Amino acid sequence: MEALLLLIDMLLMLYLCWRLFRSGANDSDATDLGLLHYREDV
Amino acid sequence: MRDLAFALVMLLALPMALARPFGAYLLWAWTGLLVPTAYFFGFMMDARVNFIFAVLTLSMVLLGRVPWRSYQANPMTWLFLAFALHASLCAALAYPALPDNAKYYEILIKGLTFCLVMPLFVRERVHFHAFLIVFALGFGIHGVLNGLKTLASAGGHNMLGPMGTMVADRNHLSTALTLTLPILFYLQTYSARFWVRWAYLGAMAAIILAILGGGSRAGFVAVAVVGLWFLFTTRRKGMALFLLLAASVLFIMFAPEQWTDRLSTIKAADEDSSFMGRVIAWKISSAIALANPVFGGGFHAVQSQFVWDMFKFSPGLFGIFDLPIPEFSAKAAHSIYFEVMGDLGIVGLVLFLTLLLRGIWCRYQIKRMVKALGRQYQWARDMADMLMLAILAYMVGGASVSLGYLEAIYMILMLIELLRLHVFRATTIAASEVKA
Repeated sequence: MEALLLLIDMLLMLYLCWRLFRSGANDSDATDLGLLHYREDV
Repeated sequence: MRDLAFALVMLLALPMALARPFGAYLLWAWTGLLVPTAYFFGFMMDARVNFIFAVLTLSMVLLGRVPWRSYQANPMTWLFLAFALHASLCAALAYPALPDNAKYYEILIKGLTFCLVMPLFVRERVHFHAFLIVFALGFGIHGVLNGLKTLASAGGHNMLGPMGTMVADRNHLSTALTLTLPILFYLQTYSARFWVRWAYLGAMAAIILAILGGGSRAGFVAVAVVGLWFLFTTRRKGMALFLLLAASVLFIMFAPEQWTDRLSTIKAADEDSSFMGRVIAWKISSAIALANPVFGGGFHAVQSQFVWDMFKFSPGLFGIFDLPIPEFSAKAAHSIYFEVMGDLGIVGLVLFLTLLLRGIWCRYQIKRMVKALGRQYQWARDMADMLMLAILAYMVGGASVSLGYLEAIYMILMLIELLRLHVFRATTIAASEVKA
């Protein structure tokens, strides 16, 4: 169970890096975190 | 196997980090909070992944990949610099042969260095959101793992943090985990995907279970404060009430009997030897600070038997109480306030309290500015509320544990300052638009 959760954690971190990489903009101007993105209003 | 998986993930992440400095910065945060190597048993056990991402990020900054002019100047940076400088002098002028002086100095300086770089990276809403996700993935995972183990063992699990870190001890981990609860609540509120919101809710339940099942009184008090503050201040009172009820049910179901016995000693503190031991440690820490008001005794001086014996007859700030002369050996300060006071003197304590109070002040500034900006910036107010709640949880829970140099709290303090700057910029733009 511990190994599985750690793996999920690593993959989510990798996904986040991927989304930032894909944003294509220079430096840190990411615009979309994909599945982990936020909603504008609650 | 997990070593191999981690090595592969790092190999995939590295080129992306090289391409995007913000990615490298987040990986620095994640590896620092998770301490992944503590969960490994193979060839990655001694890998210095956190150091690699720290060097990578700082190299990119020094090479101009992130322009220095984009640094958001702010008062928290100056406070952190003053605190770092003061801590350096305290470490240099410490009592001789303190066993933990270098260790805790290094922990603090590493944490402050990370936070001092933050104004280069965290600027827009997406950066704040990404950083909070990394905080949850890096720090929250310790609580989720312990919570699920508590569930699987029906309350019998002995809670532990990653070995060799400041949160290895269950009391430390319990208190530190309460900081993640408000952050998870914010992420749960604002995540776009339905299943992601449920995942955050599940993580919160697991962390509450870990804290309540962990048997730490400090953690229990901190989580109770977080719960009550939630209930009184959040806009989502229904959800807060549901979480409080769920926590109460989990507590009744999983708290081991010896834990409820232990908890009942909160009411009879003067008869509890563990509590009285803490009071003695506070007395000795305060005596060290009164003898060295500017530079303190050095990091964790109170834990040195030589220093302990030197001050055990001094009344410190507890002269009005009739406290016995301790017969037991040196122990930790058991309070963030007395820890910093003994280690860094009265001056260090004033700086430390200024940092914490500045964080709370930022929340009130954000709240005031968001009122003028309207609903569009409601997210900033909610984030500020939750960051302030994390600070409060630290201030309350930390009153009886030695977590003065916890990196996570310095991250939160810098984050709330940068959030204030973000909202301030929006206010300025809105004001210029009105004028035009």
